[in-house]
Amino acid sequence: MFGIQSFPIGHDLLGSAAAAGARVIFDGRVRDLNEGHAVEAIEYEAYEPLASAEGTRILAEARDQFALIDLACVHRTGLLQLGDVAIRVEVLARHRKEGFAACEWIVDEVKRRVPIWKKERYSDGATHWVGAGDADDPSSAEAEFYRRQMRLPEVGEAGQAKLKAARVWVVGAGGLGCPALTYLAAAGVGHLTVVDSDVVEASNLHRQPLYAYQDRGRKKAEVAAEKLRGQNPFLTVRALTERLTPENVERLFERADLVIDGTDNFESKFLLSDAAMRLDVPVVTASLYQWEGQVQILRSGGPCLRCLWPEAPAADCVGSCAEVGVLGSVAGVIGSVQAQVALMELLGLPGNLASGEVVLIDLCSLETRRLRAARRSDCVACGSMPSAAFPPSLEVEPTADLSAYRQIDIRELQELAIQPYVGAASMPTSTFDPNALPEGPVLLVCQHGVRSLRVTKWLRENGRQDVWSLRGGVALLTGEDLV
Amino acid sequence: MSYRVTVRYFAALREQRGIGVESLETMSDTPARLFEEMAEVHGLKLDPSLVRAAIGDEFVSMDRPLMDGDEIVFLPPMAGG
Repeated sequence: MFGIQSFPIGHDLLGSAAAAGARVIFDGRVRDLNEGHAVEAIEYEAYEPLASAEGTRILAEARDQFALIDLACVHRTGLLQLGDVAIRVEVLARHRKEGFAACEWIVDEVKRRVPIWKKERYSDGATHWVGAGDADDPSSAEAEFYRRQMRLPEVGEAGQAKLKAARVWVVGAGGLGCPALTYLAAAGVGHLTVVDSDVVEASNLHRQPLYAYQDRGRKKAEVAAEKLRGQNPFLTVRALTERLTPENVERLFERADLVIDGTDNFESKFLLSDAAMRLDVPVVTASLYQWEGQVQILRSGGPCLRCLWPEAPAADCVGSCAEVGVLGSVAGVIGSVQAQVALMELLGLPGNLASGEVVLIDLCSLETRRLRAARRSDCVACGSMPSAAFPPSLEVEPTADLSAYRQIDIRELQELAIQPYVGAASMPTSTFDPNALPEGPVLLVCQHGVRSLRVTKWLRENGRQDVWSLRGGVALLTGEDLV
Repeated sequence: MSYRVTVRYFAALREQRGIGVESLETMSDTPARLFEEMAEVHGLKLDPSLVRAAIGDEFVSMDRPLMDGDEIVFLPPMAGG
């Protein structure tokens, strides 16, 4: 239906249909004059995956809003001479009025939205890039995108560069995640990762405007990523359809500069809060209840969610959005506030939400209130215990401060002979006695981190909570397996 | 002795109480006792161990003594997204 091709457009795109009273064909051709310059030839360049996705989306939208029988569009890439067809749009409709309108709309949208650039060659030998949306060239097309926010003295070119370099993970692409993602993408956060394992349901649509009715049944993360790439083609957007677990949270955080918590349950929120304390990645967390929301930023050093609620509350202690209801615009405001707090943090602007501050926003009365929580010195997540040594993680990264642990090497004696590891007491698995383990925190070490993880799990299930496994084992620590 | 206080309810507590703010006279001398009293009078269903209190703009212990004129905020946990 939508195509990008590097060879001449010389064919009809659609067959005939008996019901089609109108067949409208538009050819956009290379002309000899542009803004006073004599044009000799034009070279078109496209980023094909993005261009095809956006073109396909435009045709789907056209089908939704015009009564058409069939439609197609092809855009050229490569070097075109005067008179060559650069774009062809064909529309079959019952009546000419719909046909003309749809055809014009499609051409306008393709010119405006599809990331295709053209380089005009003039008869005087000069060349000039014309971007999608008629900006000057590919890089200034990008600058044009952010011009209004770069005008802010607090952003400027330096701030924009910071945002472009930033890596932000948005966990949960629902009521909070959709607006947060939209504004982070719009602001030019260069690397976005969308994490969500759910599929789009009809009951999501009133508050999750990244999704359309026809997206029902598709993975949210994938649809969201696709939408965001179309919204801003200058970003890299990844979709992750995994569920957040204690096992994967550390790896998910590894390359993040900041995480947005758009989840809808206490278990995930506390998992993210704990990870923020352990891994020194700020998390902007938020929750909704009917007409209200609250927002907080969790930075390493605390306070964290456990300073207020040491144990994650039970899942059913208060109603979820599904049970008690929520208005879409409430989610929209709170998720947008998360984006705002995140952008302030990434730009390093003064006056951002302080650690421990909880902002309560009531969208009925339009009142906001800031409450301050203090760090609890006995908080298990951000208090005096070594921060890397807190459950629910089973593993400790090799880059962590291992001196905070009593290390036990559970490899067999013959393995120790091949690759010794000083700094750990030996307790081979074959003669392992859980009762002989020292006081915690204990770090179990083996060759690759597989056996030690298994033993750690077993110990945790049998009542020993202050035991961890060294991820990747001695091999990763000494660089043998370093990848 | 009794205290003249303002009480603010958020989220699930506002829903259960039916209003967001009220001024009242109470004999309760801590946020914990005040919440217990309100729970009984108005049928608040939330487990008291989950309620957090702030006075003014600071979260405080549920056992902090109340003073005349205090504004007490009761905040339940919330996780909707």
